[in-house]
Amino acid sequence: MFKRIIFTLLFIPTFFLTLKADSEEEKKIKAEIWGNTQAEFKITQIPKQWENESAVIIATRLDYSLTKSTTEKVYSHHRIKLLDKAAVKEFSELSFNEKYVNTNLFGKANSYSFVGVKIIKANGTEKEVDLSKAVKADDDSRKEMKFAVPDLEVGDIIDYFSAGKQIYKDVYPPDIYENFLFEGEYPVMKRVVQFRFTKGTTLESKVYNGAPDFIKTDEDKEMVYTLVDTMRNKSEDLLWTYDHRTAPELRYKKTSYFASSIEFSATSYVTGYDPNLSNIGFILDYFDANFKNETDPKKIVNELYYLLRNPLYLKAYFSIEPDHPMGADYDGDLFFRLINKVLIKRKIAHNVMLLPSAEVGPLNEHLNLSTCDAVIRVNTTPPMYLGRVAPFSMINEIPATLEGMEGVVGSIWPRKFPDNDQSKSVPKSTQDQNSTTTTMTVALNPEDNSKLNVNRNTVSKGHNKRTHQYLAVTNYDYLKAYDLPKYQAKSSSLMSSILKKYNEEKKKLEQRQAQDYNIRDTKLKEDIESSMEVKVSDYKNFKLKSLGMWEESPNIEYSDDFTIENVTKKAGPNYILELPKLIEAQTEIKDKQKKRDRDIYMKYARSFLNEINFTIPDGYSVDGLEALNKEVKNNTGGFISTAKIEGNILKITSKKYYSGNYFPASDWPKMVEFLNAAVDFTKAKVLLKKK
Amino acid sequence: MRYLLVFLGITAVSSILAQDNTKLATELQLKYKDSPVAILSAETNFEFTKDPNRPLIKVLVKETEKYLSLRFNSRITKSVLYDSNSEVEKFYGSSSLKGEISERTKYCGKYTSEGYFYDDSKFCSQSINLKELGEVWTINTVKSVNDSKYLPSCYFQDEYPTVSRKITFTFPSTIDIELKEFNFQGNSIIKSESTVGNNRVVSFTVSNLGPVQDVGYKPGIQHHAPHVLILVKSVKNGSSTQNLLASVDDLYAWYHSLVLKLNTNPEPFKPTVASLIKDKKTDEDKIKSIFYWVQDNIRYIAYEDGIAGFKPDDAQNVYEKKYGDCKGMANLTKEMLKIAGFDARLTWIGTRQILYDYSIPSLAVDNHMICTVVLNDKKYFLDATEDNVSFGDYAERIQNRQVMIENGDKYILDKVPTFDKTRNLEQHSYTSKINSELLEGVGKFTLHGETKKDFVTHYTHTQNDKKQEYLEGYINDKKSDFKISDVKVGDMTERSGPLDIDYAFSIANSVSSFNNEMYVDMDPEKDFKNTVIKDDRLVDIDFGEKIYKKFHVELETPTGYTVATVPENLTVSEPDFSFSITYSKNGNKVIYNREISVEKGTITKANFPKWNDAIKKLSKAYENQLVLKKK
Repeated sequence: MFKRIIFTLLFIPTFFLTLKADSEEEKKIKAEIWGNTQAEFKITQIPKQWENESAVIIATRLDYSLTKSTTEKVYSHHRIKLLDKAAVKEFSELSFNEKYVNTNLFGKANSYSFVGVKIIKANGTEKEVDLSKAVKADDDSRKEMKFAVPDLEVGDIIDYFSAGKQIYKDVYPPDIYENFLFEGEYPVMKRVVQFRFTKGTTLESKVYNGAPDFIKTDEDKEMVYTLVDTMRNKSEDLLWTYDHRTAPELRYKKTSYFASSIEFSATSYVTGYDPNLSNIGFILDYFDANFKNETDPKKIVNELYYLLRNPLYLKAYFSIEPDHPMGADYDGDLFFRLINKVLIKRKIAHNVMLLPSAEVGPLNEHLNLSTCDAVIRVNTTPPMYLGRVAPFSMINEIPATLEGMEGVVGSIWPRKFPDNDQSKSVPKSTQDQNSTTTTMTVALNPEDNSKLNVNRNTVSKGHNKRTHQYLAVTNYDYLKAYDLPKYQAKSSSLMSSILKKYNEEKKKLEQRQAQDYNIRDTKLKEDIESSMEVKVSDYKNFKLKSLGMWEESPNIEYSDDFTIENVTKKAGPNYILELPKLIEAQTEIKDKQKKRDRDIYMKYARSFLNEINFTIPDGYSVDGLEALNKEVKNNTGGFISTAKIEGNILKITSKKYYSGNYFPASDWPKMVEFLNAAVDFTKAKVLLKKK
Repeated sequence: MRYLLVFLGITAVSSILAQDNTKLATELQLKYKDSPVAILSAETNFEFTKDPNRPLIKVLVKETEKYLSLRFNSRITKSVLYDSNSEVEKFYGSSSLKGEISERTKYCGKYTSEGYFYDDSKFCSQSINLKELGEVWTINTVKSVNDSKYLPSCYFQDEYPTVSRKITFTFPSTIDIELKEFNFQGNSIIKSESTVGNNRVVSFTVSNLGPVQDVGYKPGIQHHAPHVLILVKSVKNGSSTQNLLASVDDLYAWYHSLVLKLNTNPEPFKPTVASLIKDKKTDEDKIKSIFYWVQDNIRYIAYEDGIAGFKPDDAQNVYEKKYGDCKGMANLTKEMLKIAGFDARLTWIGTRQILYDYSIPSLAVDNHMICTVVLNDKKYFLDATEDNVSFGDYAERIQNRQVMIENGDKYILDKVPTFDKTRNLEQHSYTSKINSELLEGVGKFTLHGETKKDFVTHYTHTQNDKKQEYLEGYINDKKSDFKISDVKVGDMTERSGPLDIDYAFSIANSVSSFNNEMYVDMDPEKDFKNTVIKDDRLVDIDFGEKIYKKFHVELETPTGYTVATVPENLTVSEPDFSFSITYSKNGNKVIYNREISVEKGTITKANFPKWNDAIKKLSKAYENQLVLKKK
C-alpha cells in the first residue's frame, strides 16, 4: 500500500552509519512499537475460514506523521501467520535498506531508519532476529540488504516493522496520494492506517465498493485521520476488470487550505497552453518545403501528426534516438503543445481536451491529473481527434481508455473562430472499427496427411491492430516507411545535422534487415503455436502488405505460409480434422469464474472474423458440418459460424464480437453464452470420409 | 616518402580487412541468427608464478578478444566475473569505429550465482556499443587469481560463436602442471608445446566453434564443452618438492583440514535427537527419524562466501537457524546421528552434472556434500537436501556417482548404488466407458521414485489455497475438457513405496460421432507428442532422470456398437529409448497400452535423428482413432 512513501523516505541520500549494536534510538523505537503494541498485534490465532490460506496477515499498521510541516515519521508494522511451506519460503528471505541514523552536530538523531523482525513460535515463545548477519543484495547500491530469517517454520508468526524519520529542511515533504486497493495476496484480519498532520494540512479521501474511510479527530494542534479495516479477503483473479472500478478502494491525498478541485486543475491545464509560437521551426520548415500553399485543414493536420511520429523529428524534439522507433516512449505534453502552436499558426480551429482514464472512472473521482491525458480536437467536419502520439498511433485512434469519457474542454484556438462544439468527450470506437479478419487457405500436406498446409492473410484495424503491428512490423520496416523525400526538409543546423547523420546511417540500414526479420519470423511462428495450440513447422513467405500507419492504408495487412503438425486424426480409412482450431484458442470460462458479482470492464469493443477455405482432397467427402453452424447473439456480443461446401472447397466462417467495453455483472451469463459457443466451435471436428 | 608509402599501404590493407570483416560478418549473421557478435579472435594467456610469501601458485589471466559485430546499432554487455580469490586488474578496449571503453566506463557490483542465496561472486561490466556490421572491438582484460586451486578449468566456447581462439599456459619448469583435455574430439583444436627460457609454454588453438547453446535439458557443461582441466600439482623449491594438489590425497587433506576447524557443540540438538529416537526400536528406524527430520525441518539456503564454499557450517548453527547449504545439512545429519550412537561421516560427491571422478585431484571433481552412515558394515548415503527421498533410496543426481567418505586422516572411495528405470515408474490407468460423447471413468496414478519425489515436493511447496488446482493440473495437464472429481491421494508422509492418486474423470473431447460411427481418442495424455529435437541442437539431452511411463486404458464398448477398426500397434526400440503402443480386445473391452522408456534419461546427439524419427511415428500414432460402428 504505502510503498511509495517508504520508498521516498528511505531513498533520501544521507550519511550512513551502520549500527553494530542497538543504538538508544533504536531501543526506544523497538520499545515503542513492540513494547506498547496494540491488542491486534498480540493475537496468535486466525479465524477458521482462513485456515486453508497460505498466510494470513493478523495485523498491519501504518503510522504516518508530518508535523511542523517538516518532520516526517513513518512506522509500518506487520504480523503474519505462515500456514504452509510456500509462505515460509516467501517470508524467509527478507530484504530491506541498511539501517542508519543521521545525527546532527549534537548527536541527536534527526533522521533514521530501522527494521526489526521477531518470530513467534507456535508454543508462544518469541525471539527477535539478529539482523547483523544481513548481506548485500545484488546491486551496486550499498543500501539494499537481504537476510535469511532463521528458525522459521510452518505455524510461526513473523512480526516485523520498519521505522523512519526524516526532516525536510530545504525541500518540501513529498506529496501524499494513492489509489489504494484493500484486497491483496493474503487475507487481512485487521488493518489500521493513521495519518497525523499539523493543522493546516488535511487529508481528503473517498471510498469505493464497500471500503472503510478515515475517521477524523481533532487533537489540539494536530488533525488525526484513522482508518480501520477488518476481515478483508484476499484479491481474486478476475477476467476483464478494472480493479479501481470494482474492488474496495480508498483514494486519498494530502491537501492544504489552498488546494483546488480536480475539475479546477483540469480546466487550468486546458486553458494554460502557451500560444507563443517559438519552438516549431522544424515543423514550419517542413511545411514551407512541402506544403507551403496547402489550405486544406485535413491535409495539414495529417501531415503534422505523422511528422511528429517521424523518428527524425523525435530526435529533434524529444531527443529519442531514431534507431529503435517502435520502442519510442513519449512522456509529457510537448507533443500537444507543438500541435496547438502549429494549428494556431496555420489558422486551424481546435480545442484542447483533458480526459480521465476509464480505469479510474469519471473525472471528479481522480486524485490528480496523472491519471488523465490530453486530446486535441480539430473542428473540421467531422472533427479530427489527435491523441497522444505513439509509434503506430493515428488520427481518430485515441487511447482506448479515454474513449467515451467526459472531461474538460479549453476555449477554441485561434480565438477568432466560433466555439460551437460543446461536447466534452470523444466517441467510443465500435466492434467494426476494431476488427481483425483472417482468411486461410488450407489443404492436407500432400506428402504427409497428418499435416496441414496453411496460407494465411491477416487484416487488422483500430485498436486490434496494435498486437499485429508489434508482431509483424520491424524497426527496419518502420524506418523504411518513413524514408520519403518530403522528410528531407532542412534549414536549421540541428535538423541538418540530424538529417546528415541519418542519411549516412541509412546506407547501412539494410544491415539490420536479416536480424530484424529473423526475430519477426520466430515471434510469428511462436504466436501461431501458442494461439492455435499447435506445433508449426516450415514457417515461410511472410509478406507485409501494409503497416497500417498511414491515412491512405490505415489497416495492417500481412500474409504468410506455414505447416501445422498433427492436427488430423486417422480413423480407419477416414480422417478427422480439427479445422475450427485454426481460429485460435478461445477464452474459456472456468467453473469458478461462472459466478460473477463485479462489473465487466474491457478496453474496447472488438470483433474477430475468420474464413477457412479447406480443399477437400479427391476421393473424400465431408461430414459433420452441422456442428460448425452456431449463432449466439445478445447485447454483450455474439458468436456466429457457418460451414458450407462450394465445389471442392469447405468454407468455414466465424465471427466473434464484443459489442461494448462495459457491461454490468448481471450481463455476465450472456457473455458466457457466446464465449462458450466459440469454445464449442473450436472443439468441433469434421470427418473427411473416404468415398 | 617511404613513410607515406607505408602509411598508404596500411590504409589499403585495413580497408580490405574492413571489407573482409563486413563480408564475414554478413555470413556469420546468417549462420548465427541469435548472436549479436562473433569472437573474431581471442588470445588468453595464463601465467603461473609461485607466490613468494605463501605456498601457493598465483595466476595472471591476460585476455585480448576481438569482437566482430553482427549487428547494426545494437548493444551488448561484456562482463568479467571475479570473487574473493581474484581481482579484475585491467578492463579496457577500443573499436574500429573509434568506440572506446576504459577503466572509467566500467561498472562493478555483486551478483549471486544461480541457486545461491549469497556467495562472493562479483562482476565488472562494460557496455559495448555495436555501431554497425563488421565493426571490430578489441577488448583487453587482466585478471589475477591468488591461488591456482580455485582456477580448475578453462573452456574454449563462449556465449558467442568463435572464429579463432588461442589459449596459452605459461609456467616455470619448477611448477608441475597437468593440462587434461576433455571433449576435444570433433573440434579442430591444435596443441603445441615449447620451452621459452625457464618456462614451459603450452598452447591450444581452436577455430570455428559455435556458441554455448541456451537450450533445455542440458547435461553439465563438463560433459559436452571442450575444455582443459588445470591440475597444478606441485612446485619445486630448490631440491625439495612441495605438493599442492598432486593427488586426491592432497585434495582430501585440504578438505579434512577444513573439517578439523569445525567447532561442534551438540548440546542444542541433543534433546531433539533424544526425542526423535525415543520410541524407535531398530537402528534403521532411528536413522530414518533423524534423516527425515533434517529433510523436513532444515531449509536449503546456500551461502558460499569465500572458504564457506568448502567448509561446512557448524551443526549447531544449522540446527538453530533451521537452514543451511548441502554441507551444513550433511554436517548436521552426521552430528545428530553421532549423538544417537551411529558411525556417520561427511561425504564429498560430484552429482550427475559432473564428469570427473576422484582419480583427478581438483576442486572441480565435486559440487555436493552428503552424509554416509555405516550400519552393520553397509553404507547408506543420506542426502538431506533431497526432500521426500526415503532411507536407502537415492535421487537420480547422486546415483552411480563416486563418493569420498571421511575416514580420519584417510578417506574411503565408494559409489552410490544405481537403480534402473523401474525406480521411476509412472503408472497411469483409465477404466472407462462412453457416455453420450463423453469418455468417463476412473483413473489412477501410481508414482514411484523420482516421479513420486517430484510430485510430493511440488505439492508440499504449493500454497495451501492452490494445492487443489496443482493436483488437478497434474492429473489433466490443465486441459479444460478433462473434468476431474473425487481425487484421493495416498499418504504423502510415507516415504517408502509408491504413491497412489485415484480420481474420477469425464473427458469431453475424446469421442466424436459421425453418422453410425464413433471415433475414440484412446490416449488423451499423448506424452512426448511433437517433442522433436531441433536440428541445430549441439548438445545431448539429459532429462535428469531415467524415464519409464506406462499408460493403460480399458474401454468398455458401448451397447449396440462393435469395434470396426483398431489402430495399428507401434514399436520403436533403440538402446537409448523405446516406445510402444498396443491395442487388444478382451470380451467387450478394448485395451490400450502405451509404454515410454528413456533408459538412462539421456539422448545422445548421435541418436537425435532416431529420436526424431521415433517421435514423429509416436505423434502420428497418437492421432489414430479407434472406430466403433453401430451394429
